[in-house]
Amino acid sequence: MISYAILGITFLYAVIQILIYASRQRKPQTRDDIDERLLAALNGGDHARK
Amino acid sequence: MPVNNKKPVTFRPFKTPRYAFDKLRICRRCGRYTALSEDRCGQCGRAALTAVEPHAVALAGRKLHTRLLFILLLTLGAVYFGQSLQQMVLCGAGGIVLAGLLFLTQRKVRQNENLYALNALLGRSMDSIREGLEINRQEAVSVLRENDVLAYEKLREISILLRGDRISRQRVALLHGFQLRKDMQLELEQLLLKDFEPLLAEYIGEIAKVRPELIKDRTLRYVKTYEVQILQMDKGAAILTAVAGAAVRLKRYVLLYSGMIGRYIPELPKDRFLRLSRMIASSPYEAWNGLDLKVAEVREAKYRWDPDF
Repeated sequence: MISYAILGITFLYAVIQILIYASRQRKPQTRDDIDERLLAALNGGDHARK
Repeated sequence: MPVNNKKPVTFRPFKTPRYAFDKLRICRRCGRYTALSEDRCGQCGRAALTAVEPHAVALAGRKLHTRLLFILLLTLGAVYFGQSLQQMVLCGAGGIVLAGLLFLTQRKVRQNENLYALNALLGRSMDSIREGLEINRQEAVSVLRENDVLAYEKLREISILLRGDRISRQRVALLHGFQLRKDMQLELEQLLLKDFEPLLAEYIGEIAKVRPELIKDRTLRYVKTYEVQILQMDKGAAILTAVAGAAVRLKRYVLLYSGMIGRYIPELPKDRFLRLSRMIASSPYEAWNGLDLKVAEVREAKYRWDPDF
């Protein structure tokens, strides 16, 4: 019985992970966004000078 | 500063990276960030500097492997606690199927996960990044007296990430001491400040002569905003004439800044005036805002007998 319980936990864990990946895949990150956020954080939102 | 007193210098080639974070490196040992192209970490002295993106990719890979290993570990546990061979085989097979499924999903989302890891790394290290860049800036300032070229090169690297007026002002002050040449890797738009700075105005004037193609919209806006202050400078009129001459390069600039260009037409060199004159002649129905009349007046007064016109 314990082994089925552990397998159940494994199943839940795998499903949760796959759901997390899928949700992130729906809102993909881009290098441009990351760059923009980094420059905004470093320059207090003023990073128009490119 | 008279041109003769300026120092002839050569800068090391520099390529602006596509993304600002490409310039950022992290020490794998002590976690210090740097934007300078040094071989060893300035804090721990180890040659363990790596670009942030590969570092984030390694972190993401470790995270994905840990999750996969956790599933395999749980599977082993399930097999261990199995009360019969059938139960053990079932749990083992189930666990392997789940691990395989997760592995396939991970392979599919790997690129996106790498970028998430990069975003998270930069987000949580913001204070360390600021601290590292400030140390870089202090390093650049500390070598200023002994080696101003090196100081400029360091500030140029830092300015990829820190774009405030403080760094630009220091760079303009350093550039003021150098003899500018056409073959130099120069920049202008990145150095524009929020307020008026005479050294920057002088630099713009020099750039207008050496590399007129660097005079673009933002520079012309800056010059137009501080035209009165520039005129009050020693060689203010010469600076504005050089900028007006550079603006004549494109019809769009002539149309946008016709008022400012119009005020310096009489002083324009012949080739610049000829270009402006031909530009206006080729599009007589454009809204030149009185520039065409001024050009005609100057042409009559200065170049009446010139066969080029």
